Amino acid sequence: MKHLDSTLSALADPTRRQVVDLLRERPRRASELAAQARTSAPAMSRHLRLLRSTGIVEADVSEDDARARVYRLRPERLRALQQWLDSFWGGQLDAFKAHAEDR
Amino acid sequence: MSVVRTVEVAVDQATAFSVFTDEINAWYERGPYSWNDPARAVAIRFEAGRLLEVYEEGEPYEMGRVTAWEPGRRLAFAYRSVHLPIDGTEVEVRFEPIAGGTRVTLEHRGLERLPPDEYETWERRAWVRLMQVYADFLRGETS
Repeated sequence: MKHLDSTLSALADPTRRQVVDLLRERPRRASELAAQARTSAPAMSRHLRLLRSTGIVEADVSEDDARARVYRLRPERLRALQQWLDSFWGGQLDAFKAHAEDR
Repeated sequence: MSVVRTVEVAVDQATAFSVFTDEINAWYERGPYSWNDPARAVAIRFEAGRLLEVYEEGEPYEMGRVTAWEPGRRLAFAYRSVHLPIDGTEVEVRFEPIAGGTRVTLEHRGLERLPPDEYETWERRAWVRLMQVYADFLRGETS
């Protein structure tokens, strides 16, 4: 399962998946995300830091005040499609390898 | 924009190529997005210059049109899937010798040709699919 990279482990957490779901609708502040996900502000801060480190999520860079910072899914075109295909083909190649070496 | 995946297998190039092509039906993973018509699909195979999703009855679905077939070295096809908004993106598979086996590199190109006005719809769907992949992974991880 080596194709499952840091993005995957970042999203292996239900709160972080919920954050991504919420951000798919629109950009939101950390406080709003914490309230929606029923988690504390420090815990949400850790989740957001991890999501940012994988490049899934970005913060509005014009805001220095962390409380006012707006988080959004990174707008790179096709990012999700690319990640999905990455995972799809990675899975297929793993299956190919398992079969080729097990004949 | 392209997607590149690599895997190293402990078989020689000729074997890797023939397993990839002749035996695709044996290894192709049956996941939620593997098929274009999951309810009817019974097999996948390369046949007469095409990659086909085969049904019990009726015409097969053409998943790929082969553009390069170099046994032991390289395979390429124009790819098509109901899960993608455009036809004719390119999949290339290269087989290179390494110590003790073969490095297989799969590259899927041409995704930047996605029509801009359809992008948001597809991006949303792709996220949904990604979530499914993660959910499947977690089930495998915990079971």
